[in-house]
Amino acid sequence: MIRLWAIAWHIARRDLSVRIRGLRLLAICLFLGVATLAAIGSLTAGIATELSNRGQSLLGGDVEVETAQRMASAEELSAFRSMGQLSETVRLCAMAIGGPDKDSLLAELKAIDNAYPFYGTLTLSDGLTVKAPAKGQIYIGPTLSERLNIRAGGTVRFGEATFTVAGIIGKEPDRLGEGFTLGPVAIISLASLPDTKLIQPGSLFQAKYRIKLPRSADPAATVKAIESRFPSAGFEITDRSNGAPGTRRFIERMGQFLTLVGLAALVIAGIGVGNGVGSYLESKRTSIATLKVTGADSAMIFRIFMIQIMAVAAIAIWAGLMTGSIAPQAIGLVIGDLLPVPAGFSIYPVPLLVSAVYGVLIAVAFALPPLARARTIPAAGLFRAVSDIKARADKRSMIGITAAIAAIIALAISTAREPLFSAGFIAAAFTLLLILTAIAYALRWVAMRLPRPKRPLLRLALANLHRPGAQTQALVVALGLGLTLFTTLATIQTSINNETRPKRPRTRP
Amino acid sequence: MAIRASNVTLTLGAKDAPVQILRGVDLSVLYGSSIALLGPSGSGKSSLMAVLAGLEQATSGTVEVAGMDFGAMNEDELARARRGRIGVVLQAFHLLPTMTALENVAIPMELAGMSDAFQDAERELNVVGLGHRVDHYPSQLSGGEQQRVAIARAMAAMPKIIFADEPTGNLDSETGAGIIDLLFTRRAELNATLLIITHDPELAKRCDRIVTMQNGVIVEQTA
Repeated sequence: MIRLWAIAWHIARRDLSVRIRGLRLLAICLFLGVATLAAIGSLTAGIATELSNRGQSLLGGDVEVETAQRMASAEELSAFRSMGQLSETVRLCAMAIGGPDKDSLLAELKAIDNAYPFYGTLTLSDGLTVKAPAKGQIYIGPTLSERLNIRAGGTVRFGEATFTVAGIIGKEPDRLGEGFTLGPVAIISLASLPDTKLIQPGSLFQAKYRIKLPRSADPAATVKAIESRFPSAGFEITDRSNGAPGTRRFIERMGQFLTLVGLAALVIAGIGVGNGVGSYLESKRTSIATLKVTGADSAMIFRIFMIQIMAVAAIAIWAGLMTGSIAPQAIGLVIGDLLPVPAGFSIYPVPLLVSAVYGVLIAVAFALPPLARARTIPAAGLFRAVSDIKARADKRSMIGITAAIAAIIALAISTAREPLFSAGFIAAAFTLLLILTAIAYALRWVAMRLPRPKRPLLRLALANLHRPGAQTQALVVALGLGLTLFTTLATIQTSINNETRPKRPRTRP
Repeated sequence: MAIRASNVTLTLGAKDAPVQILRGVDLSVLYGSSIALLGPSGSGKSSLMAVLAGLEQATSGTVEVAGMDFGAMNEDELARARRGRIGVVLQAFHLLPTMTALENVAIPMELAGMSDAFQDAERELNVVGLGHRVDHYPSQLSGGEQQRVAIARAMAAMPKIIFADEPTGNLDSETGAGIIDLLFTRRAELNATLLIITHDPELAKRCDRIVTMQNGVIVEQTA
């Protein structure tokens, strides 16, 4: 068997001309599909890794204990202090009033102590690294400064206290860890908070207690210790391994969704692969018959062209992986400001491996049907026109195609964060394929039964829809899948936009 | 006996519109002999050659070539049976355009698993007078040179039976005559059986026997 593959390799290598046009389509389709998947996977992995690496600064400590609508009790505070150094912050929504027109804007008021931040730095827009502002002073976010037209030295009122703006915030180290906020941020010292009189019984606020543990301490063990000591305290406890859980969840879900979109795009590319391989093998029809005349059996034909197809596929996949692996840096350069954290410069083998496997499986699944047809091209084709357009794939090829499709499904589900969602997506894609195939058959059936138009061009066009070897099915499926994908993306984007767009009533006080 | 065909029929086309190409052909060919197949276009000459060379399966009848029952073999078994035993020369040359002359000649021997395929191919190209053109692609060769490469390809593995389908049909008369001389010389050197399709009565006379076909049957055989 090895000897047969060696013979096939020698013949395939010599026959694989650099001018092969048919396989260019295969290469382009696979390159684009794999590059997309690799880029999505690498970017998601890069951001997730960066979130993990920055866990301490995103969290503001090694362990964070959050309470809602109450401050920690003396006993709880004592317990936290016994575990390490403690930093205390309070967050609440409040109306900021200030500027020349005394405008108001809902803002996120954050009170910090002098220990804040344990990790990272609080930096002002002029580059100055600061700690908590002095009593009666405030740092405000750039949005608040812009909207209320307040600069450093101006004043802004929160509740019953008026603060002097000591600086515009440039970088808030735990911004991502704070999660969703309703307005721009403003930071005061914890000592100034009582002056606002905003903390009253029933006020909506969150207190966060960040603990900086000794080097030897295990954050997970600390979390467990707090949970077991205060089982009914209603704490929300996070450790540094998951500094920004909401952001991580969003990134991972978005990554999974985009991976499935990429996979759908790769399936569409697969149709291109099938067409490319089909036209390539069609152009090799005489050569295949000649090889058969000179003694090549159908298995040898399969080996020769499988080697050629997989060689081109391997180069395309490799190029796709290279492009995908540098995508995080490229995306960072172009739209870095839109990313929650810049993706780290690193090669992420798992998403690259998954993308490569997808590429190989798609190449196999879509190249096998035309290859199976090619092996049936008879040697007698050199003597007379032989039509084998209806030739079906043999049993072994059918097993190969089925196995490749099954492997694609298994990979998509096994690598998914939410397997049920992936399974649903794949089921929907298959249903769509069936529907589109049925539409294509219906179109051919109707075209076959329509009366022949008198105009030659129309007659030819109509005949091309149903003649043997017509590309109607491939075209309907490819166009249908592509259109569905675009519609899906547009629908999702519209949904996200609607959810995130500020909802303001038409008339407001 | 190199070839023994008995009551061979060949029907092609769709089930609802079958076309009977061969209508009961009987033919026996001795080893080392040469046969010319004559007949008008559509008489079934090429189809009979395709059946005898194992390129087409007969619809009915018995076909025995080099002691093998072609009727009992599928297409893959027929392809393997041709390796090293049967050489085919076609009117349109049918060289692989992406391979050099040397690679084209080596192909059948490589497929037959012969270890010295390229050495033998080079030797055969020298024999047909193309030792200086081994690295040329078919597109860089004249029609006559291409047919010489095709003859080298058919002969290199030293087959016992050679089929030639109008080998000069695409060539001018002078070049064609040279090709025919080469074909007959090499056949004699190899002591191979030759079955050649031609429309040229003069060429047919160079063969040991002339078989004339009409409407899918042999109508005349002359020694």
